[in-house]
Amino acid sequence: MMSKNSFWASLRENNRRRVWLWLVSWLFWFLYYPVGMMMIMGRKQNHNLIDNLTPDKAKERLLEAANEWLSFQGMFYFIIIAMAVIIAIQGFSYLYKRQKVDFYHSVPVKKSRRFAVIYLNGVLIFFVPYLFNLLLAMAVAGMNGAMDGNNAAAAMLSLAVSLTLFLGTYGLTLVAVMMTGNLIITLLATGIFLVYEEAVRILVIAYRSAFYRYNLNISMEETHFCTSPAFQMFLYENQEQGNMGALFMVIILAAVYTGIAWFCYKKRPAEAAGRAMAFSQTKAPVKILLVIPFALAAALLIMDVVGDMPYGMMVFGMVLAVVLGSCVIEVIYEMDIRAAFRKKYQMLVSGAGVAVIFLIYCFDLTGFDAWTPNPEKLEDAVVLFESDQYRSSYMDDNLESVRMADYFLGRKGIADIETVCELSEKKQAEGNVWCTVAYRMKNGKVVWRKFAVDSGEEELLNRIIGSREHREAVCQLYDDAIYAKIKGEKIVDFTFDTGFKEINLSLGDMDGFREAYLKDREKLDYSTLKNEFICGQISFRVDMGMSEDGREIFSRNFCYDIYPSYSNTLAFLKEKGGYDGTYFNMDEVEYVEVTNYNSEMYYKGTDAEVNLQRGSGSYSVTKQFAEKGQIEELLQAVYPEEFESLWKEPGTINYDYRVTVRYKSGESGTIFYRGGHFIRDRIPEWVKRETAYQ
Amino acid sequence: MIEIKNISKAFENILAVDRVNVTMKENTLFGLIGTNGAGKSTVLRMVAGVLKADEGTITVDDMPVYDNVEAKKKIFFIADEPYFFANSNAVEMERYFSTIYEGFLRDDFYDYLENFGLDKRRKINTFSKGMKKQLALLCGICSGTKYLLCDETFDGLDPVMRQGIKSIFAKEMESRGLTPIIASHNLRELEDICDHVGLLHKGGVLLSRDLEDMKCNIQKIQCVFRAREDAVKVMAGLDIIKQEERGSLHTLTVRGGREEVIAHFAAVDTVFFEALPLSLEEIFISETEVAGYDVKKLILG
Repeated sequence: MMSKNSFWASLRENNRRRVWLWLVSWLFWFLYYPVGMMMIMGRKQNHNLIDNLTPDKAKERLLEAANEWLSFQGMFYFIIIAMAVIIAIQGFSYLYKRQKVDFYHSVPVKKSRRFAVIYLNGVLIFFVPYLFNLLLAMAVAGMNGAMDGNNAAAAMLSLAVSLTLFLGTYGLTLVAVMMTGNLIITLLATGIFLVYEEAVRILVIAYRSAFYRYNLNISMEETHFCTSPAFQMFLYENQEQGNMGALFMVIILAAVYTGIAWFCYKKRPAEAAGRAMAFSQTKAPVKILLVIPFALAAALLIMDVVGDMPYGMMVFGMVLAVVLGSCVIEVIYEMDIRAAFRKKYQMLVSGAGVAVIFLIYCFDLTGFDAWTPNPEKLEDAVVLFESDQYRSSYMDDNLESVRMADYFLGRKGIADIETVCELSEKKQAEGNVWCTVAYRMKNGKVVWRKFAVDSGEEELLNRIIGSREHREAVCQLYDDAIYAKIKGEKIVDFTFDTGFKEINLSLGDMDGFREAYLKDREKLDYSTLKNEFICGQISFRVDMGMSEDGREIFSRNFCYDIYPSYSNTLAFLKEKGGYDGTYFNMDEVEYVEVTNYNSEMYYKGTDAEVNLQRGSGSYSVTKQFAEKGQIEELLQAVYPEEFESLWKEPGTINYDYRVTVRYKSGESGTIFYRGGHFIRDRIPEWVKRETAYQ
Repeated sequence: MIEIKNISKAFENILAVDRVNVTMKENTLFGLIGTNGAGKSTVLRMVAGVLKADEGTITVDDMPVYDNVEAKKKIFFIADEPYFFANSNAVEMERYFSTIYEGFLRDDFYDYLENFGLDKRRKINTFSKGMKKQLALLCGICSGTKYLLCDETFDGLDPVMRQGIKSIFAKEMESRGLTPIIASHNLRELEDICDHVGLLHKGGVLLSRDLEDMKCNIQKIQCVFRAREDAVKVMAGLDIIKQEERGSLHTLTVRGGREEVIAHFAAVDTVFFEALPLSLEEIFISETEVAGYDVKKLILG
């Protein structure tokens, strides 16, 4: 027999006070899971009938639909976070009223039991209806023949992810409840707890980008959220294959927050009911930690609105924000407008904090820009050139896209420390060759910097770009595993494209091409990239299968640039592919259209203004040239836009002209137009004359 | 026995209770009297284990009360505004208290409800203020606890109900040794039921005495002396708290046993002397005036 005063009796009693939450939770999950699943299955069954699918295909469609419905959905974030916040606040809301505190805290129930009962009930309110209705939905799917092991696993994973997100947010909200004394402040505190870390990160990124010359976008660095279960879970959901580390982190966060909440619950004074903050010791730190980022953000906002660096206005803005922020928080604390200017020393501390941080960034007191790697401590360095980032895409072992930085970081970096350090010393805030460098230190730390190098540093850049580590990282054809994977997939096309002509190659020649191409790349350096014009591009198009909804076919292109000095590759292409050394087929071209923007006609305005005028086309002159001789001369002078890269010196390509090649109908597949720009000094004089503004 | 030793409690920077020492003996009815803001509720909330004293100790039958379930099992606290679950009725409250207090007297509870004319199925939020206080008192009495802490609980009760509750108190005190502790700002409300009274003022205890002791140890004597010398002679041997003289009639409030004081007066030559009964109010006035307080302003308004 259950003891009257047993834990379960307490649980049941507590449940009586939370009936409405149980009802809401049951209703929501019932409507979402079994009812939703029934509707989906019904709809898909109808589609199957309409599409007259084979039994296998019909089942596949049902399985996919059920899988999608049983898996963790994006909207769950908001729903689960909202449920966790509501359940946590409702459970301990008695702490907000003195009457209730007197009642509950005077009865002979251990604090630990009361906390455990309310906590566990909160979890059950979420979990039991969720699990039951999920099982019902699985049963509905099963009755429609749409359940298999894969779907069951997806459902269980969804359950685990949802529960983890719930527990993390629930624990965090409990901390907010324990630290505050009324509902409004609890909601504010929960919101702040959820986003504070991310907000501070954004602020730090914004300050780095505003004040440091060699800063790079922090997204290159791997983000680890330490405090927010919601953002941590976001990381989990947005990484391929799920990031189990992020999921595990949320579980740890949930445990830590629950521990903190229990500690605060134990220590919370009964007289905190109704106050803004339960613990008077936390008032000052919380205020200061809110006012400082607020004031720093205000300075950035002013900078953004006014432009440039209006230091006077920024300082004024920061002072105003410190005063305003401190006053508002103090009014909230005391719930008394007359309290606004109390605790002036806290205002001063906040102001001092803002000043120190602002000065650190303003005068680079941490030496961020001046930093150069200590050769003794440097393991290697990964160098990412902006030009490569624009022209290349990288795949992981599953041929899924990965960021260039991630791919490079997974490989060996440039081990020539002397060259890496020399590159670092040559850094400048402006220049033609932009690179991002990840300095990997011997202690495991990775230091990121982004800077420009003058294109005159050809010999140094040749050493970097010509290094084996860099060469092999840039071109994935070096990677045997990836290459084998590409070959193992269904390759749809293997083509050579000159920019104006596409030639199909035999799939059997892939190995031969790779051998010749890699041989040529051994000689690749900065001089090649800077001085030569790409003469063609090899591409493999790989069929990646159907999309999840079965509506689209995915394919992925793997492209490799070919330069005129790639003698082995070109010779191979000539031998195998019928490449005759020409870049276009005259017979396919109907005409070439040249548009001269006549930029010199514009007043000497800013680039933006010229672009605006150019957009309006007021001085533009467009002419079409259809004579064979004209077309030949024009296409010899044009650089296809697909090949344009940042390796070239500024002005090498003349963007004042736009060239469009119109193909004859049906001659070049579905492509009717291709475009490009003239190479400097190759613009025919007659084109200049004919397209000049009269 | 509840022993309060040197407890202090401050809210923010306001000292609500300042080094209070009180002993509440078993099986007596203790009255805690004081003006609004004197610290009565704070003391009771500390005794109930709701608030933690900043300094000092509170023990219930030698057990510290704060965060101690065993000590709290002996206490039932009725706050000045008793709380009941939203939309609940008396049955639901009984069900809850039955899970909390193992010795909850269910049958007595329903009997009392009937006797007091409270509908057990009626929603409590439709009860009047007085009915809610009655229900809270019945819950407390039937909880089976040894100590019942009542914060301003008698306010709002009509005289009949007050009498009814007093009767129940008397019965429970006799049958199972219930020890009610009643806080009130009104001395007149308590004088007919309390055995022991503690007077709180500005967070401190002005006095804490057994009423019988107080009544026995303080006497009011009216007398007329034959000669001035007799008056001087009598007064020299007495512990006089208060003295009034109207013509030849002296009214003296004297500390000491009745027999002893009468014997003292009988020994001198007086035209007339008489020992008069003292009301609790007068005793308080006399006692606190000695300490320099005008108790009329404090508790009699």
